[in-house]
Amino acid sequence: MNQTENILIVQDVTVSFDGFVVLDHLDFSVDYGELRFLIGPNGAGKTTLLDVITGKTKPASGSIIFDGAGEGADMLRHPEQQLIRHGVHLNQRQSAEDVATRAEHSLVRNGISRKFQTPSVFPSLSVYDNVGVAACFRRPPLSLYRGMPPRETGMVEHTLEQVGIIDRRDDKAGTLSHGEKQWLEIAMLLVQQPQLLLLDEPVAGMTRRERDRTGYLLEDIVKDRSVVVVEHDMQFVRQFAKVVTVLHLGRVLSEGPMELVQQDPQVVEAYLGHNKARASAEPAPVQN
Amino acid sequence: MKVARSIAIEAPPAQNPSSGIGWIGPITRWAPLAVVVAILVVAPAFLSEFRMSLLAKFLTFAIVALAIDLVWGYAGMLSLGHGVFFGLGGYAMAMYLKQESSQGSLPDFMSWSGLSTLPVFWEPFAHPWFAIPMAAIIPAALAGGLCYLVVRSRITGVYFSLITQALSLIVSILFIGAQPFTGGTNGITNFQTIFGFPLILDETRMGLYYATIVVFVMAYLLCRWTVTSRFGTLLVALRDDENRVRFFGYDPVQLKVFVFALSAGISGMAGALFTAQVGIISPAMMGIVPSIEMVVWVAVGGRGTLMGAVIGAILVNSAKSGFSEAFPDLWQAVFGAMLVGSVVFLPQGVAGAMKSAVLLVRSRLKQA
Amino acid sequence: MKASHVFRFIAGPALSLALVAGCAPAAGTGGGSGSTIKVGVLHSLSGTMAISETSVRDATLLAIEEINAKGGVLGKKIEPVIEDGASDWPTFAEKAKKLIQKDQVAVVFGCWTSASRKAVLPVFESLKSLLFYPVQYEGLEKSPNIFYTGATTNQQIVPAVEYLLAQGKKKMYLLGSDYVFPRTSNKIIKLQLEAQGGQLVGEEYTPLGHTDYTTVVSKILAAKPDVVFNTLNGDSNVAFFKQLKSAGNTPDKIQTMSVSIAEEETRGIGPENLVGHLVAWNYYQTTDTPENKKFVAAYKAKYGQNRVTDDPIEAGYLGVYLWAKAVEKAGSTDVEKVRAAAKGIEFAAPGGMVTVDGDNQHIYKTVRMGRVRADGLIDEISASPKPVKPDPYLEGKNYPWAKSLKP
Repeated sequence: MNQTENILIVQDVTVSFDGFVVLDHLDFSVDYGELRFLIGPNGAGKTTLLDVITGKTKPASGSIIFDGAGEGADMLRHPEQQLIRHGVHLNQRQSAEDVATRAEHSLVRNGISRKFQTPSVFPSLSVYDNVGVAACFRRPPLSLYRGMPPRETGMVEHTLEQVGIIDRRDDKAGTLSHGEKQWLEIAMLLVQQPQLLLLDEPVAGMTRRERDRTGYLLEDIVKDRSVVVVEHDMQFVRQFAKVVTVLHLGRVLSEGPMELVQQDPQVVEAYLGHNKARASAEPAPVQN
Repeated sequence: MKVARSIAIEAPPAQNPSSGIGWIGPITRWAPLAVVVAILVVAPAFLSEFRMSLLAKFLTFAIVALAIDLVWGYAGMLSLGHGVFFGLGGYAMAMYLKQESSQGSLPDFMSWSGLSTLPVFWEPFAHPWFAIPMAAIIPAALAGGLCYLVVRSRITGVYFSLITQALSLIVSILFIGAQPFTGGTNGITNFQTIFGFPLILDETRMGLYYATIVVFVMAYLLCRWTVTSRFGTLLVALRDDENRVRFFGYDPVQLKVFVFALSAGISGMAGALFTAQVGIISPAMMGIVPSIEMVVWVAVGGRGTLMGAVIGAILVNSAKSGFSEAFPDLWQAVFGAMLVGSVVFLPQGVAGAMKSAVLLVRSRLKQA
Repeated sequence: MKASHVFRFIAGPALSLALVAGCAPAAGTGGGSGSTIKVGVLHSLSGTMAISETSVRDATLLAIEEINAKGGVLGKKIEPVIEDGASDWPTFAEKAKKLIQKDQVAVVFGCWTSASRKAVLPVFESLKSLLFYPVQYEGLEKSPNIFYTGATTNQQIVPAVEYLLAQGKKKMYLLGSDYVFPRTSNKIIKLQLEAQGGQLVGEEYTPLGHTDYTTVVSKILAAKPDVVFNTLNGDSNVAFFKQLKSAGNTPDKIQTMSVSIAEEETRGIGPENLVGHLVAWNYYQTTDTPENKKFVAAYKAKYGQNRVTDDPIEAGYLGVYLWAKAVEKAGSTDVEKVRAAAKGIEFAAPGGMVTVDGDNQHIYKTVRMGRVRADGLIDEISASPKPVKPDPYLEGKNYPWAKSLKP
């Protein structure tokens, strides 16, 4: 595996809650500029994997190496240093102090942004202010007393247009429809210009038209960054996925183009054998 | 390896007529404050000496209400410990006033509590230019420190409130127990002069009243600047969804510690003005009950609007004074019923109710 | 939007300021004018102190009613203006100011705790008004604007210690609530013990409202004192005496001497927990004077047969009479004239003859030691042969050991 091609390498990561193993010596990596879909039955460990990458959950063992360039061009000249900073010191569970003292917010500053499963926007702020809050995250908070800097103002306008919610800029986020909230949250993440964007079920609860629009949006934004999407909606996955990773019981079950993964007998077994309810609720991966 | 392109270069310059929602013309923006200040400035011409002393006291309460609204209404941190910050400011001021009034001899309560020399930490407070800044700095430092420890452990919501409540209990007990240094339950009272002017003189009292107006205006402007700036937007975001703010790369600890310390500092200044004008500060002002009362003012006035908090403080305290004068035996029941009624019937507070009343009238007018 | 902003911001403050002003009806008619003389009655009618202070208010009103029935003072009826201090010291200061400035009362009868008196003292001094304060206290104060009708230390605590020492109870354990009165009293007691051959075997303070005394009781039992000198306040007494009794103590083993427990309190604590223990006051409901028989009967007739009288109630009652006599003598309610006239005024109070000491505005009072009975009333077991001259700073020649108290 050539490390320089990967923006994210998850190596041999194990997570267990009260003895129940959620991630089991998991290896996983994402390339630069890749749109990767993560699927798997309930309890496969998809959300936990995102938790580990964003520092919300600390792994019992293993390392997560993130090689973004979130802090500027000088990082590019020192990839090794970068690995040490982001990989070993940030996430590897070698010394408990290191991991414990590293807060989530500092990981975000390194270029990883994440959308949670339920849309979480700030309901009492306007759409514009929601994106504004996200945009100013690199400024010292007290400097915001002087207002939003012009650079960020420009980014907010641009992102609202890119995501297509500029006409709702002055409405309170709480009044948006479910789909609009999802887009707003994506806009809030995009405006931070992350190197790696993690989206947990971005199309859940969307209409077909909204889903399609979200898909095209993903294809657009992945031009500038890597995106990992956790999704249950198989129709959506089939339509937009190039490479799919199937997680099952905390391990990678299968990985590759959607067509191949769908025919993997292990995948079929995982879906049909362990989660019939889910499988019957959605089109089974084998049926096309 | 890719570097994100700078979107700012291609984005249109920041000028959009509809940006900034709460923006209103400069005249309408400053009119409310001007009206309030005008009323306060001319009030002495219409109110008796006793009513003036009440108004001055209520004005210090209004400053605390602003401070509480800042943390509760905007940043979503319900503090049940602001009595402590108010009281610490009051004690800093009292330490100065008492030393000036004692004219070099040991303050009376110290000699009857068995001290023969002035405690070292009292000495610098003999200078007003030390004591007055300390009235803000000490509460701010305590609030900042406590908030850092509590918020860092991800303690939020009700648990945060309970810890602040415990703070008011602990500090008031400590102050009662340290009688030689704090005057115990009696508190510190019997001040004679401030900056050499006798406190009984009307001119001195008027001077203090106008100083309170100045501090009130400054506190209001500071709070208003805070909540209307991008920083204020961030505070509201924090209130709405702290976790989301954290995953946007902000450190909620920093934000909360700053705003909580700011609020405590403002409360401390209010306490200093209270002590100078009311003439006493005691642990009773720092206990749980006054701390809760302070939150009630904001709830009644309308949490999340600065003027609402001001109105609430003045309204509730006027009612309290008025009822207790009119019905000395029953006033607590009447007062309690009023508070419960206002929370039940005006969930958005007085300010919220007035806003919806105006909206209703306007829509009626439109239909007509 | 704009209109609503303006309305909201302007109307709100205007409304609340109008309310402040609205609380101010036409200015008071003045204490000395018209056909009545206004006097203030300022006690806690709500909050933790209400239970004690309402009785004193009742006694004050009884005295006013009696004086009015006999024609009032200077031919005018006394009109009480009642205010609630709400057990909160700054509120006491506010209400004192209101009574003086707005109602323009001639005098105020009120306060109970030292803290409330300390809070109103600057108000009475700066506005040159007059307060009659009805409760025994820790001394070390003489304001020209206050008359102290309760005992000072040399009329209660000092003689109580002397009494105990004379009884051979030399090993003393000091227990008090953590506030000014117990701390100051114990400071005096410690000086006195040292000078008069007593022995301090323990000293303990508990927060106001404290109710767990198991540790304290075992400390006391271990220290084996002859007597516990008790300055606990309020509810703490209930817990302390119950736990002391259930630890197997009886008054003949370790005696207690209390200076904050009067007839009102014995009922709350439960006479069965207190019976046989000692107290020190200037008045008991059982005090055998003709004036007291009339007073107790009048008090019960007005407020109910189940009510009891006690020392602060009597002090509240006699204060009104002392003031009325001083006003009659001065021929005016003017504060300076009343103060001058009050000097040496005598009154046959329910607790015996009292005389105003012009120097410190305290009063001469008879000191009485008492023992709690099974029914909660208190029997006098010893009394000073004549009223004791008040000495708030213990400056007299009888108290050479108290020199260090003087600031």
